[in-house]
Amino acid sequence: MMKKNILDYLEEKVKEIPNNVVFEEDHRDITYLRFEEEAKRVGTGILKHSVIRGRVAVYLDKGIDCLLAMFGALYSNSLYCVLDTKSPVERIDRILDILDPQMIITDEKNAENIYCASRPKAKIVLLENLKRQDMDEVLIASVLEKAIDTDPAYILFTSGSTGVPKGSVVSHRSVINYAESVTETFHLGSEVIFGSQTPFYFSMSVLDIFVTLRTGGKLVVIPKMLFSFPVKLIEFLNEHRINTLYWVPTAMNIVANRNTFSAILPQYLTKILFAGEVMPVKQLNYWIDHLPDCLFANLYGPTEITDTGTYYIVNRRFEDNETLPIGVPFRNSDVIILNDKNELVKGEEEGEICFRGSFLGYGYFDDWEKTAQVFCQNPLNTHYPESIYRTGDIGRYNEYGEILYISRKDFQIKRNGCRIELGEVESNVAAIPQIQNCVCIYDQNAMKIVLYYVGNIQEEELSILLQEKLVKYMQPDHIVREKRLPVNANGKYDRQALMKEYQERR
Amino acid sequence: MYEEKLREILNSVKPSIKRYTGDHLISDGMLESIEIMEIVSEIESTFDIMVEPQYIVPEYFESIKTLEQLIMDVKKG
Repeated sequence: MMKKNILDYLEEKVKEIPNNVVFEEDHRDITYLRFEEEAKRVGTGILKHSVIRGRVAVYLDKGIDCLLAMFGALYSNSLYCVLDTKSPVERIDRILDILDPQMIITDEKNAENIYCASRPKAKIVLLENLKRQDMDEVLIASVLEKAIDTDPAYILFTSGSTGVPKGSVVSHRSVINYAESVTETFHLGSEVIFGSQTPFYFSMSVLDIFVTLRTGGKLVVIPKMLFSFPVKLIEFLNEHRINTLYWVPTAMNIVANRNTFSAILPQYLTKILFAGEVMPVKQLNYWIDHLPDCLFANLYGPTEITDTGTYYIVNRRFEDNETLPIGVPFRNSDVIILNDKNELVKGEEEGEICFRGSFLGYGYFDDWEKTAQVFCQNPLNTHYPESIYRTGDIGRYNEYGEILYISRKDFQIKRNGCRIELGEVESNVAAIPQIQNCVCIYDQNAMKIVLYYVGNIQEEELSILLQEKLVKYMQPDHIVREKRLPVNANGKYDRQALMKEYQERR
Repeated sequence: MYEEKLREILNSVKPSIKRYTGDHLISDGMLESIEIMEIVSEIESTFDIMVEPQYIVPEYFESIKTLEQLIMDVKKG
């Protein structure tokens, strides 16, 4: 039957494999059948609070309970919005201001924080109380009967460049299309056991969660603490027989940088996907060299189009200073690269990467202006309305017809007439063996390139090395050795924080 | 005997740790992943040792005492 709601996946698997475990955390797991039952109770509870097709905020730590609240919201045909419980109250405040939810689901542990943040308008309800509801299947069925696939499933907030969070609205249809494409592309089946690293308020988790339901596999939540202890992390993967990863590069780097595989090797891994940031080739090669039989794939895309829209399955060897392609569009997703004149690029010409198709979300909740800036009419089609999403990323095709990500539009620099890509500077620095991590920023006013790095090499020594490796106009003007580089809540390098630090220092 | 230097390292990695009086840094969730990696690098350069991955386990990072034990164990090999 045609899927019109992401809950259809769950219900289908409940019929096929009711007693298989669907979600697992450190000391608890839950079967498909039991998960459906409990989510329906939560859904009934939400409906009994007169929230139907509304907005339900979920303020819970990552785990089975958080998933129950998310799916409970879906059973009331509401959209869910997962909030980061570790986020400062001010940020939660700003998000709640925009989202204006009818209900916030939390637990006793987190209730106090959310009471500080929440405006009195939203009902704050403990998950425990919702779970205690008797399941009212008739009520739920009557609500879901009216559901269609263009209904929104969730809103995910990302930090806007101005500091005001932007809430991307994504429909059931987009999630269904994305889950189908990913499942097909990587030949995933019921044997899949995901080791989930990314937070549920981050778009990458959409793949983990919904591909699990699509395939009838299992998702294991990896305790965050284990990403501090790489050997324990691999032990955990082995213990839970995890075979599929979809991680941010920083998580993979921790394993590579501490030479973890000299102590222990993952036994069950077969597929390793990554996205969210540029994966440094040096650390990727470390993984490939130790796990030569695994499939490695680089995925690319923004939250605005559900999660990612292109993929590259690593099929050849890359030098440490090369960058991986972002590959080709997923099935049923399309990329067009547009130059300054809004025409398709030719040959190796660079342009803005734009997406078409069903992965596209609706835009930003309650922000028509920002939405209109990036969700635009396809300039190649002047005959009827058709939206594309403009990523603001610059890319081009290589000789294999694969797409290369060059940089953010705003990162492109011209100095003395020469075009400089900060990404290119970064990949050259990252290739130096003593370097663990590095980030380049550009001071627009002073026209200076600033390189921040963590590694076992002095600043002067690095500066001399770079004179050999980089052409003159690409040389960083300032080199700053750091003990660590700041990361944001999603585990990406926080360039804004570095910029701020740099400006304060001056 | 490494106490003072270890205290300096911890304070430089995470200044707010000065106010922490317990001896369960990890169990109490005081340290982020990235901070632990930084502590390891600092210990390596300060004490001129190489901390193999099998030593990077929570038990060694709970307090200054356990960190001292870590250094001694690494040195013993």
